[in-house]
Amino acid sequence: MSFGEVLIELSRGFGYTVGLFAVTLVAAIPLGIIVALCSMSKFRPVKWVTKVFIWVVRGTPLLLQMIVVSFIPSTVMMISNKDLANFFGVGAEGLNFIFVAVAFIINYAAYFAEIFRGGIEGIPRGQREAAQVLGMKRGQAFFLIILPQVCKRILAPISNEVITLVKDTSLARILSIAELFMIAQRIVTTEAIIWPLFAAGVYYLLFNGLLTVLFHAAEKKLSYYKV
Amino acid sequence: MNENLIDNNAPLLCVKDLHKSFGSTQVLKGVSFDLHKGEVLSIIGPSGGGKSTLLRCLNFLETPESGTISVGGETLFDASAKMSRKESDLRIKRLHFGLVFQSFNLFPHFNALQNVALAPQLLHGGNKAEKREAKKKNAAVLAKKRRELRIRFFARWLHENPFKLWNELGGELNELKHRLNAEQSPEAAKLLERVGLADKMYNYPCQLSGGQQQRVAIARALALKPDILCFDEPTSALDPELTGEVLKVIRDLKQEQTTMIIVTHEMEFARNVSDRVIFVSGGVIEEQGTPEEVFGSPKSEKTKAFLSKMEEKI
Ligand SMILES: Nc1ncnc2c1ncn2[C@@H]1O[C@H](COP(=O)(O)OP(=O)(O)O)[C@@H](O)[C@H]1O
Ligand SMILES: [Mg+2]
Repeated sequence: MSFGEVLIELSRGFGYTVGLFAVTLVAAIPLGIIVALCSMSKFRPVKWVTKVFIWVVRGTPLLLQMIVVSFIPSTVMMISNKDLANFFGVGAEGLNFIFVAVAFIINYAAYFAEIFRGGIEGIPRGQREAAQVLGMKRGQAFFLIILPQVCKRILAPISNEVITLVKDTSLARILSIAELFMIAQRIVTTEAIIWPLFAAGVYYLLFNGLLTVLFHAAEKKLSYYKV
Repeated sequence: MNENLIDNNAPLLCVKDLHKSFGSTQVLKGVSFDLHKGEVLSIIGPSGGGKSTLLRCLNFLETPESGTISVGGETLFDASAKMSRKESDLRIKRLHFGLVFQSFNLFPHFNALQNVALAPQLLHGGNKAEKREAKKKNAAVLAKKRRELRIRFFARWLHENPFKLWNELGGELNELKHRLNAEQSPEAAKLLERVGLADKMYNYPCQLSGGQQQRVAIARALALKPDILCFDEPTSALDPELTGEVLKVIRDLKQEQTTMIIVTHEMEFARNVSDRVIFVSGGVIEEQGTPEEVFGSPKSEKTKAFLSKMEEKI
């Protein structure tokens, strides 16, 4: 394989990496907000079920969760993977991608939820009370007063998670998703050259570099006030 | 003349037999008092006596177990009657009262003007179409200004320091933005002028001193035109040299006949500004009367002890 061919192959793998990254982020953030609100619910059963969920998801490896998710339909729900693939209108590989995405979304939603909860609980009580005595509705107080301040507070921990997520996507190869790292490994074994591994590292580095720049920009944009 | 007579006879605020406990600790053990329109009532007393809890009950941040609260003859709260405790109903009742907190509680992500203008905007909203129209007009003005600034930038950027030039033109744009904002909330701007902060309208809370923040908080509370404005130790979180500017604003409000309830440890101020003083200790009103009566010739032993302790501190 020529240098160019290797890069094209790696780029194709990188596409899966970015795809998994984007799908996870887009779904896990709103799901995380919902889980966070549930974990602060005044209704005890909801609160405790959510807490156990977070405990389990954060307390077990993502790798294990991916495998469990991929087994649940065929063992617990008695639906064969073939039927499931047909139902979604995808092939076997597409189905595996769905399994991986579901596991990633659940896992990251739990982590995001804890960050959101910390952020929301960290806002002084006086902020909500000030909004209340000014006659604001609950929704107004949450979206106009609380949430903007939470966003600023959680930017740093969220950026940590997001960067970890980029690297975690390499776990997807366990369900034979042809993401960047798997492609690199495959080339290394078939072509007996080592450098594609380093090239893959450069892809991750550049992607994370871009994310770091974006988070810094966001931080700067919100630096006009202090919470 | 006649109207005045009626006003003076019927109290604006009637609080009767308020009880409130947290768990097993009784904090308010039957508090009753009246307040007339235009009167200033000071509440003094030792820490933990229940002063803040009383104000929080009036503002429906806490729900008393028994007692009634009525304003202008309308019963807002009656623990014994089946009254709606729905948030949406409380919201309307709260508007009879304003509350200025000890720790200001300004919204840090809004500037002074936005802090004052936000609540009235949300409450009255105004005509949606009108608002959209105004927004469109402002956007057009800004777009025109941007175009003009861009032309000026490219005409000069090779002859001057381009970074400095960019900042200078950016400042001009910001000024225009601010002016448009102030034009959209003229009442908020006027209130900030009234508390002496006309030149700080576009500053964020973190750019203001404690005294300035508290004055913004007062303007914010006034923006909803409450019948009764409550202060919970408005100067306790301030450096001593900053208390004066806040107390002056409160004095000015008295001049304008604002009905106020002020919890304070500033005895001299309470004596000068109030029409009536209440001494609260252990969840009950130990003593009440005119400032002369309470400060000049206190009857209760507890009041005497408290006042002499406060004097020692000075
Ligand atoms: N939310 C609460 N939960 C439990 N106890 C409270 C709460 N708020 C106030 N208290 C108690 O009520 C008493 C009166 O408090 P407070 O009204 O703040 O007094 P003051 O303002 O006169 O200093 C204190 O003993 C305080 O510990
Ligand atoms: Mg207090």
